[in-house]
Amino acid sequence: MKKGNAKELITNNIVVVVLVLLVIGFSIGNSTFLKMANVINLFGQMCLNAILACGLTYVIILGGIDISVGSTMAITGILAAQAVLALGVESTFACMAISILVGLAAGAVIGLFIGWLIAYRGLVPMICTLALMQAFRGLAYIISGGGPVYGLPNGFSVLGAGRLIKTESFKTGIIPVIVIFTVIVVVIFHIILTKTVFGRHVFAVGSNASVAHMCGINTKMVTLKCHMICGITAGLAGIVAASKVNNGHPNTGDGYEMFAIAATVLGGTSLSGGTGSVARAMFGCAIIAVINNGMTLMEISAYWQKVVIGAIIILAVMLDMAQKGKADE
Amino acid sequence: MEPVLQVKNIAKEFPGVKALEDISIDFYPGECHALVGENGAGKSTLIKIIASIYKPTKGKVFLDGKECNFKTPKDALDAGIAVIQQETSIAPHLTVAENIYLGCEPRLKNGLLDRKKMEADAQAVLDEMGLEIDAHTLCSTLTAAQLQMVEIAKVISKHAKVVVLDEPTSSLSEKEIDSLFEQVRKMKAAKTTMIYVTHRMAELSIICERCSIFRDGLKVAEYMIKDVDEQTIVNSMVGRELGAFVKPDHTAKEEVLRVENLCQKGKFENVSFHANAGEIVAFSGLVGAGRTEVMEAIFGATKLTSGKVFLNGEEVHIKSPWDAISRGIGLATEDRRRTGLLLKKDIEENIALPNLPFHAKNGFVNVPWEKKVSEEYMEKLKIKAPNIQALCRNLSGGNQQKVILSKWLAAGVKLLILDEPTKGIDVNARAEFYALMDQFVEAGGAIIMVSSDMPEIIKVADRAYVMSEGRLTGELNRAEITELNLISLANPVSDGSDQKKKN
Repeated sequence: MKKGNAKELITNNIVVVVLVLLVIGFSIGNSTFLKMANVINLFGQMCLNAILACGLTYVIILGGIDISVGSTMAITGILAAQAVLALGVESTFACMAISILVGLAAGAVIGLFIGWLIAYRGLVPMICTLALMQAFRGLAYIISGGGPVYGLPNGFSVLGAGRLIKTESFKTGIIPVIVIFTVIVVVIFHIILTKTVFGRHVFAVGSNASVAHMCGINTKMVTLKCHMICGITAGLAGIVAASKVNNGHPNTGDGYEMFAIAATVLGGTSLSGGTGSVARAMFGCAIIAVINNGMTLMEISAYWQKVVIGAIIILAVMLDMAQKGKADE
Repeated sequence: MEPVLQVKNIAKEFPGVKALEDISIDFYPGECHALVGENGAGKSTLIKIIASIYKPTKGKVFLDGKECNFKTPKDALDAGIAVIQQETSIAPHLTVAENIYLGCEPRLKNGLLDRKKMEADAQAVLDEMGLEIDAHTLCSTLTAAQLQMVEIAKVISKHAKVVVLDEPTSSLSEKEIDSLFEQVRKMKAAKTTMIYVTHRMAELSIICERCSIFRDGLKVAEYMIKDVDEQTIVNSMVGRELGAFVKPDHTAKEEVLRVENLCQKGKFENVSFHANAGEIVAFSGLVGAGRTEVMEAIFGATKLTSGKVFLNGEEVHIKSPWDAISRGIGLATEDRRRTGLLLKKDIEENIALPNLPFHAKNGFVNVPWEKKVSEEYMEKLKIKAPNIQALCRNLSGGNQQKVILSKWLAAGVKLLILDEPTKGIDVNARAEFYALMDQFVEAGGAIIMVSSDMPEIIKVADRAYVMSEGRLTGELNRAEITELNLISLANPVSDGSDQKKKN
């Protein structure tokens, strides 16, 4: 991290190196990869994962995990869609404001519940959220009545599918609204983690909860808040996902927890806690998006994409363990 | 007679701490070899190396003249080296027989468990030992002493060549100790090589033939027990240098802390004492006497069952470490590596950690303050590190302790509780640390120092309290603090075991 030779620089920024290599590889393999349209597309594809990874970074730094985020997305997306329908609003602004508020509130409540179970009831995060992943998915089907919530005004889709700055060659617009929204979310959660006292406490609890406790930190409260943040980002991802397809579907976010965990770990956040960064997780998101996008362009089957993502998680964890092993000697 | 087990030139270093240096010992069959020394002297580390739990930094272990290259503790066990730890490793939900044969269960030809043979064999071992324990009993229903016996049965059933007992008597009553010794004698008669770790001097002459004395990671002496008296052993144990520090006399000022009838169920009861500004108050006693528990409860890390705490004359209810810190109390824990420092974080972050909320602006970390205060204390306390970004894991024990002290000084605490502050710290760093403690009380602070090191207490303390088995057994003023007084107040059973020796 500090002064070091070139080799250290590369090992410390391995994720950037891998990303660059992948981009080079895919642009050689397929000429459309680096085309403007595809690049815009690529950023759009990253967004849901990026929002999820923000909150997951917090709980993974604590040494915990939340695999229920995909199901949480479905619930908040449906609730936002239902709220917009029930209130009968049409304007873009009103749709956005309502869905963001619903996403924040529902996500926070879910996160609070998970955090309470883990911090104050002592449940193991993996088991707790595994069970809740199932339960929330069921709830999503129940509140939606088993199918998608549709018939939404066009204004609802702007957040997820709208684009700004329309030009001659890009009639639909260049910059996706979803990218702007994601950047704002990422910046906020990056600042909270790196600049605030709370952020420091997250790292302290993740490094060694006993030391943190003895330094006057309310470790349970920190755990609760981290899960709440994770719930909030899952909630926001949920409304963005619903907006993207202009309906609230109970199937939304299925399997997204894997991508988000992979992105976080690729970004150097250790699964054993204590270290991590929201900003670096974005490189992890980029790697996953590039692999998915590149493989699609090269007409590799979606089934293989799953295999590759799984393999990448394993590799990332092995890399993390190897680095820790070196440090422990 | 050929030694069965030999350790040669063993050294073990942890980041920042030299736990063992150049240890060589021969262990002979049919003999009980005691390892004695103060806490942190290195006995446990050596045992863990013998049992292959740790790898030595330097040196080798030989079993029957052959070098041991065990990869795991299981390999060592298979080769015949069995360790009985202080905390038993019995699975409480299994029966006695299942525990005895755990990992080496007899099987039928078809590969299934031969439960009948296992239970019969286990019962045979128990009967042979003269124990009245049924092999079918669930271990969760046994007493601590019985569990220890099951551990021993486990070892006997494996026909171990070398048996290590790590403070086996610390949780046993007189009568139970007798039956334990009976088993030790039987094992010795069966030519087993015994290694015995203990704090109780009186036990040495009862069952041990030899002893090696450890001090600060060094083996300072080896004696045949029959050739020496207890005093010689004690002298070489505590003959620890304290470095060039001469204690000035302090005058106690106003009272800072007073506690009345503190109780914590199962840990300590009716503890009342006070600490004044301008003095160092020591807490002496054996390990497990409840001193650490009292301090942690005062600091709010654990809950008190009952009792009153007064700070500067006012009654306070400290519910969490945060309450304690905001009222000007700091606690440096005994285990720096596990509860004192974030080892993977740097000096700056560690010094700032408890202080962040006091200097934050709207919840944001005050980065310039953080840097300034860290550099200030690094300079003031002469912390030896390249810069404030040095990771704490790479610091020596003395410097780690200075970082901990810095974070409490930066918090402006008025009462500093130090639990075994110089454990695992070398002579010079120790003298330096005493000087820092002195500065703190000269400036009007109060220090409570928990220490198991008697010469340290004699040298540093203005006043001392002694605890034994969860009770305060005495208060000594400066003139009364002598090794004799400290020992006699600290020993719970100064009658039984000592008597036996004289008989």
